[in-house]
Amino acid sequence: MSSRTLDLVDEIVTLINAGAWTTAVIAERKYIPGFQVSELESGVKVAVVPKARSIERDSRITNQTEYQIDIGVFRHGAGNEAARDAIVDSMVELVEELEAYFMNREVTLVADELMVIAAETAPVYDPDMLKDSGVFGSVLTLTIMEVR
Amino acid sequence: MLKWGASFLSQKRHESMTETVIYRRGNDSVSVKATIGRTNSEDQAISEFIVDNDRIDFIVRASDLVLATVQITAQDGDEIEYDNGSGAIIYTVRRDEADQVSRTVDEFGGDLRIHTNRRGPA
Repeated sequence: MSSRTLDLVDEIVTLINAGAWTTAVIAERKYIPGFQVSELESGVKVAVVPKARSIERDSRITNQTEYQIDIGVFRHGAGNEAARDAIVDSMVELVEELEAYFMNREVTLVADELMVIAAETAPVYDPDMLKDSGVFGSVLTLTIMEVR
Repeated sequence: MLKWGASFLSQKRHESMTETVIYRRGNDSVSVKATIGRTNSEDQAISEFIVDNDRIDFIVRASDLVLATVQITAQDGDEIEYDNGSGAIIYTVRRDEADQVSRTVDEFGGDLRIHTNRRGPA
């Protein structure tokens, strides 16, 4: 029996990698969600990580399960200040595309049994990380509900 | 005698343990010989996501830091371009945990250890 949480994470990775985004991305499930700065110099890297899961009894015969999945989006903003700022702008746009995609009511997950009910991006990007490492980093948290 | 010893060691380091790097501030630059110091990774984190930044110290003769005929000291934001054979990488001078961009290697101040973060390919 496989983990429903991990099946969900894998499906999100597949959907991101199959998507047509304005900026090309490579998404993967990460057990230890981290990157070397040198890895981020070649392009956008996305790490998908299960964050939390809660279960409540919904009725005498059903439970409501809520999953929180984090999508970390990272890119090194190499070059001069203008080039770096242009990369930041394109990355903010990319994360908004991901938000809009997963909040689209047409998108359901794991054989139509789960649905994204909320999306939160925090931070939009981290100015300290951008200043110290030249890295754009943003985290999109999806809240996904299942009733069965 | 201690000063002589420190000078002797500095000379030996300079002769046989250095590579040429480019020290840059704005439009001014100078080629200097530097010893690559400890390589530490300093993590930065957003939520559970960790970004591992390369941090290198460059040990140089303080007297070699001359830009546009002016003797300088290392400042936050200066850059050092270093090619270890795999391509030139820019390192940005940054403050360490003690809020210092550099420190003297010995009490006589001949050599400086400059702290940097990896910035990216040149």
